[in-house]
Amino acid sequence: MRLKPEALFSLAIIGAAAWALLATLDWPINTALYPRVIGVPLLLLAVVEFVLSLKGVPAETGQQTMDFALSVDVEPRVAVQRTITIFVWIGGFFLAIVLLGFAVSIPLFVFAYLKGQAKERWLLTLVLVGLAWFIFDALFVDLLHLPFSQGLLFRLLR
Amino acid sequence: MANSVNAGVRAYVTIVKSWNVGGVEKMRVERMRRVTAFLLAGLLLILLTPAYAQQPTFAGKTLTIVVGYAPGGGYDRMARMVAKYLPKYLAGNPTVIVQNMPGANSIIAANHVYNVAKRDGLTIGAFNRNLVLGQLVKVEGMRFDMTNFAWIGSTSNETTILAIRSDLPYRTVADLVKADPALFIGATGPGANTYDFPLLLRAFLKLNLKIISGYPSSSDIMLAIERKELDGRAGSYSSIKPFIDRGLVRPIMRARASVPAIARLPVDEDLAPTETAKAVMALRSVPEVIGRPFVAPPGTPPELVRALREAFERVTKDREFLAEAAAAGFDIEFVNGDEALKITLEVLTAPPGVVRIFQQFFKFE
Amino acid sequence: MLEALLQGLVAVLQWNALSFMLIGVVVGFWVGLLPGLGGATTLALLLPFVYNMAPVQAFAFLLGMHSVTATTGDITSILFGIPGEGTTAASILDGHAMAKKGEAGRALGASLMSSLIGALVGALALALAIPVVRPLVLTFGSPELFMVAILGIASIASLSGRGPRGMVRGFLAGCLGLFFSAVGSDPQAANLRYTFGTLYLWEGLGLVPVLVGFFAIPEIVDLAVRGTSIAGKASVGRISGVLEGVKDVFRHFWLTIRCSLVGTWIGVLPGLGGAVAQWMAYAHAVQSAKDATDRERFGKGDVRGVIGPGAANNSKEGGDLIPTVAFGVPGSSSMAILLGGFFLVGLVPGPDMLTKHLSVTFSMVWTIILANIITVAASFAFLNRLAGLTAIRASLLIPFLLLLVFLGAYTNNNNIGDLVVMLSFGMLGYFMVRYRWPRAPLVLGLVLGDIAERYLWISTARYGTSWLGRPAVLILIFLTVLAAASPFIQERRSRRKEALRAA
Repeated sequence: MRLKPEALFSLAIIGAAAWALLATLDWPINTALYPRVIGVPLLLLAVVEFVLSLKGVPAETGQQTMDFALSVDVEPRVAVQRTITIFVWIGGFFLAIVLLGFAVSIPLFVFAYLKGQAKERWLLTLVLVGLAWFIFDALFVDLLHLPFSQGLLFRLLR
Repeated sequence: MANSVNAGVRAYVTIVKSWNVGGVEKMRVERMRRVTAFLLAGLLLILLTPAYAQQPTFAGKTLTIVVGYAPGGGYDRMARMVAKYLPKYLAGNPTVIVQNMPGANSIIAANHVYNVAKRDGLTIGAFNRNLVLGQLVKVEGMRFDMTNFAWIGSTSNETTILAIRSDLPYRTVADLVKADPALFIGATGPGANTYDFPLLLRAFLKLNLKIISGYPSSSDIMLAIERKELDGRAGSYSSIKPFIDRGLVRPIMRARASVPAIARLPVDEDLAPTETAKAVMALRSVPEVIGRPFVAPPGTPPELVRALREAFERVTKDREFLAEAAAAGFDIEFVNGDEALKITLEVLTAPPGVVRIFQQFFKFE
Repeated sequence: MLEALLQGLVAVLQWNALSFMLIGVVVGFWVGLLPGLGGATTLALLLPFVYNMAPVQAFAFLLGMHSVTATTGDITSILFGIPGEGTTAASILDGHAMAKKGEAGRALGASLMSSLIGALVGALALALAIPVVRPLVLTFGSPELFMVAILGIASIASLSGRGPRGMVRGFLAGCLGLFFSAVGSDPQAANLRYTFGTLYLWEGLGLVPVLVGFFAIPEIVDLAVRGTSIAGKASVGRISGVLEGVKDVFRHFWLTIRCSLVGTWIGVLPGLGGAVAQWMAYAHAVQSAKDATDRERFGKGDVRGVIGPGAANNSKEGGDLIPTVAFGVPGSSSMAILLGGFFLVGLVPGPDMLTKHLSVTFSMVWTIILANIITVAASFAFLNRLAGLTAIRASLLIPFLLLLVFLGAYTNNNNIGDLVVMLSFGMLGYFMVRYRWPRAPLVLGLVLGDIAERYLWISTARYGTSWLGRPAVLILIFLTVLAAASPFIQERRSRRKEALRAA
């Protein structure tokens, strides 16, 4: 059971590699050479990885990667719940930016997260929202004049 | 504007008339009405008269120049330089800022200025000069028509030359035709003048060149020339000039757009063997005359466009601007908006036969 | 030459040059710290101001700003796992891991000290290389540059996990990275590859949104799951931690020097781009591990993983200047912008800078040295407070981290597409961490793929197959084989050690 999502991941990579290689069939040689040269080993390695993960080769400590490991000292059920929650918040922030634009969604998100998720005190929340707004406005808008779109909703209403 | 003044007057009169009171109050109201009428008349006089002779004012506003490239490139540096000197030539001394919208060789920025930006004269676009060629070959993703922009003009042209390493014995075009072995010319990729110019020279003028494409930037090409890995390159005169002065390379020929220093070089179009060849080369060269184009969104009010054009023209005559531009390596030559539009139309109305051949060589990238 | 050296120093110490350098340092400090404010972009924004300055002043200003961005960029990488600059992402792997163990102070101390030494080595290289720079740069033609890219790719072997499964995953990640670099228009014929019909992907995947999403999002998710502060249950080390980090740099002094040299060398080679140096240095640090058990400590908070990239991304600055000043050919995109500065102040890069204007060149060397000394000294004053940030609870920190992540990614192209890329790579990074696939090889593949493809084509188009026989190429092939074999050598050594212990 624990192996299944792992195998799915390598399966997804196989699929992507195969699709990418197929896409090169129409291309002239100087465009297609590099993706093909990389794509074939990619596909082969992904297949090997998939087979190994199905066979259930366990990840002993001897096969740890040089990267950080997700924390294990939290109960798995709580961990899954928190993971999904944070992804929802991140996705929500992105949607807010697309729909409402940066200027509105930044204070909105900071406020919503601090109050809704973290349940912090009002004063602290408002101060931090102000700080977030200040960083955004003073630095990115006033100083750097970066173009921030207004957000889909506002543009449709215009 | 006259309409809103009218409406305002009518509303005011209605309100004043509605003060329906009696007796002593009536006397006071009458006096008030008379005073109000005088004030109104005076106000109207002040407002309406300048409405006809009024210059659009940018006071208190912020003008944005949207550049289709990341900071640091040629288009961006030109826009920032213009932004520095523009305010003093615009009525009301507005703030002028530069915003970068890089992507797809400035197609993204052009789409934005054409479709999204407001037509209030406060947005100017600075894009790739070759967008018109992209429109000609119908590149996907372009959601604009170059002829519909409110053209302000171009501040400089782009001069393309072909330069060969000085220690090689070739000096003239005829030498290059007879060159043996073939000369290795470095290029960054299709769509840049480093690639397109030699491509046409080889195809039509039969210069014995082999184009090695893929260098990350034109400076890397220069280094490869020093290493003798390459024998020459094409490119803008201003960027090759330091190396000509140093004696590393020697200019052999040029394209249509020119500056005094290279005016004597042979022009590719002049040497074209057929009319079609000449037309194809012209298609490539013509946008270089409007080397640094500036436009306003379509539908910008004509008086604002006029004000912008005048301001730009005066900037290009400003002595300090010219000095700074010279230091930055730009040769300033103002091409006015009407002229620029004419050139754009000239490109887009090229005969289909010529366009077909052009498309075999040109790839918008 | 000694005279020019002293003249350069005196010029930099003049009040007007020094004051501009200080302004530049302050600006560069924040630019490096904040993701999304890139050193290159800031150079472009500052360039117009340089117009009326004298050359020494102008470079004191510009280089004062730029040379410290790599130093402070490491700070955000270590504390929050968000790359402050495109050139400081490698410090996240071990630096942030140390922060999570409560060793943020030590990591910061090591990073700052190694940055300083790297900057000194780079500046020294710039000064010393001046007589030999021309033959040095001219030796490296397109075939050699291709081999350098291959050498980098072979280093992926060292960055993979241990054992055959680890190797498979490492190279898998590497191939993915190499593949991602193909997105966009191809360098030879300008045909669009894998752009899904969007305009945004024409120019390929931007490095900054990819790095920010790839590294920061998994860390933020993990932080949310843990629910504590970054340092977790460990108590955050105080000043002793910082000094410990500084001592570490001297304990591994030769590693620091070697990684600085790697950084300088990559900087000297034009066209390789800024992100490569830190990863090559990281790979080198890994390769220098004594055996496989030792190697395993990387990625989990080994101070050597902080020292390597920290030194390299600063020494690169001096290295970048070498081809810029000597040939007028920029060593990186920031240098391309700096070149504009040369012309604005009336100088022409090239042989003149090594003869007539030698003192200006040396003033640049001194600027790098002084700016970094000032920054490191100032940072040490704040380090405790900075390290203290890792003690703030996650729920307060997360909205701001996400703010930095989103804004940092967006400023790449000022396009919503940046956010999509950032989120996609965030997801990919998360799953790779979850299923124990190493991430470093993917980044290495991504930054090297474009260079490898371009120079392969150029070499073949120009030389046919004869480039394989060039002497520099043969040396590089040898080094590549060594790099690819290093994990196996380390494995053998540790097996021998275990066998000896068992005996």
